[in-house]
Amino acid sequence: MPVTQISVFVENKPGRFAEIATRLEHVKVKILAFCIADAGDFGIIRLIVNKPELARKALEGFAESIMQVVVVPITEQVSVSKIANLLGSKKVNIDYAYTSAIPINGNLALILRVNDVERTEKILKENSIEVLTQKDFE
Amino acid sequence: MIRFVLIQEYSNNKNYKTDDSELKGRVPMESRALYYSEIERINRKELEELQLRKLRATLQILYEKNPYFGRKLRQAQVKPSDINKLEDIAKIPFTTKDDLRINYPIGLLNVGIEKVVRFHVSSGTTGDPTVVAYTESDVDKWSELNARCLNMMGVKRGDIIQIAYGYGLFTGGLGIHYGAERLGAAIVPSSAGNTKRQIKLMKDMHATVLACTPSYALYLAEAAIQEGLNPKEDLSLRVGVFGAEPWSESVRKRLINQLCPEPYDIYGLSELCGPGVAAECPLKNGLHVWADHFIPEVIDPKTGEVLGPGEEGELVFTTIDKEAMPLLRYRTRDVSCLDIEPCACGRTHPRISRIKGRDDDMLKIRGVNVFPSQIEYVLERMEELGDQYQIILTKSGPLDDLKVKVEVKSSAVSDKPWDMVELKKKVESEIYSVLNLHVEVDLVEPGSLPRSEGKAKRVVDLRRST
Repeated sequence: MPVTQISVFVENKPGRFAEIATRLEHVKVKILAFCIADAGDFGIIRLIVNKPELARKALEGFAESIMQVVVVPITEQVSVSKIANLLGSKKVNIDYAYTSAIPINGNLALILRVNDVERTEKILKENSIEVLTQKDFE
Repeated sequence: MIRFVLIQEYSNNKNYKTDDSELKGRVPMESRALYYSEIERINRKELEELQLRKLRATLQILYEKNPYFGRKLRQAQVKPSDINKLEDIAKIPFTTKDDLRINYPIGLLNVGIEKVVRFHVSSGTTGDPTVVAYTESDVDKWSELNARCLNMMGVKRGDIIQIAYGYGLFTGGLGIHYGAERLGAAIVPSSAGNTKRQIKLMKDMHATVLACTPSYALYLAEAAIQEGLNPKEDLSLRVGVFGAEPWSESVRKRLINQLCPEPYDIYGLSELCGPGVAAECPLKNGLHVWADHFIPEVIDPKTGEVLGPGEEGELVFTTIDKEAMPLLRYRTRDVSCLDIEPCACGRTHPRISRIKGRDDDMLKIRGVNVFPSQIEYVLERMEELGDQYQIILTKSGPLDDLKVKVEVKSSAVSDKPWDMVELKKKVESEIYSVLNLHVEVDLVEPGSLPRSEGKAKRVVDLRRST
């Protein structure tokens, strides 16, 4: 069960991320992970939150869209290297990845943007690697 | 009724002296045996006499019966008897959009309501809507003018014409419709919108003619390609009847490459009747104005002075064959110039150059004339973009420069900024294809550009402050 990532279009100027964070705080939505990717005059803020629908409502007026990502807890046994090597060996390309801002259920998590979410999750599970779902955040 | 006469040889046209060898090189073969209505080849002198007669008749009626125009003419101290030659038209005061606004909705009606058979209402892109009325005779003549235009483009009985202009208050759909019906072509009245269905209909019905705005034509071509079709092979389009907005030669090239081999420009405005005021002949060297119905002039928009042939200025039309709502020297705000030389196609009616945009908006950037409306047409067509945009004028060194800020919609947002850069480049290349000018485009957040009630302030001039 994949996790929803919200992508928000923002202009590259002071206060835009603050605006988003404040709006989410107001409706008590927790930001679990985020990543800012810039492209000159604008950027995309990617967010993983505990309540995506509520978050999107709070962000009304912003240009935003959602997509699914794979979220894997990083533990003693499951290192970043292990995950990356496994996916590499199975020819799964990671478009980009980032880690959670706070521990989720005790562990930091790796957020993976891949082409085929379903196949990636299947590979991970077959190798006894835990994959988080949106429900784990509630 | 319109009567088309088969003209076998251009050299039969006594009104145009040319040696045939010259024509052979210039006139496309398929258009060398076209049908004309006789009036299209009327001797220039006869045409001018006809215009003068009709002008005086129109003026007489307005002077005597129309309270508004009657008063205006008296104030300007112009009597119908003062008009003794065509040039005397310059004595008549102009009519502007404001005159129509003051008389909204039907204050300028020149016949009893029992004679009116139709109203159209203009979209009001430049302000309040305008109501235009038609008598039975007006609709009849309007149909004939559109039949002439379509005929001139090589549309004929046996053609299947898909009319994707809006039907309804807008004049585009019904105007072309009546013309096509008069000509005897088979109409698919698809009206505007529902792109998927348009493409399916064009394909299944083997439409040979498409009538719509040029921007919608480009969009249809793109959408068809996205659906995996090759419009040039999978569709049967031959002729495009593209109007209702200015478009450029580079758009024509794209339409030829992507959609149909013969895209034609057609011009009109609802205040005069709608489409069918002027259109291109196969030579595509300007648009023939049907001068037995309209007297075209080009004026200096600042002084109101009439300009000579070839001089660029504001187009002005006087309707000389209308009953319900004749207009005297109506200022269109469209920029063009007049060509009164006889055309090698054999038609004697004067030509206007293709419309570039609205005169009061024109910007000069790196030597290129730019009309904000051209940029607007590009942006409107792209679904990823919002309605709000701004054109910002700056100075880069001694030269003026401009950039465009446009709001994006949620549907355009990707998690990868690279996709958004691609979108920005796409907008820039679309603008380039229309203006032949590289314009930097900034994508901005929705709601970030200032809103205004009424007419939006699209152009921001930063040239002095930088």
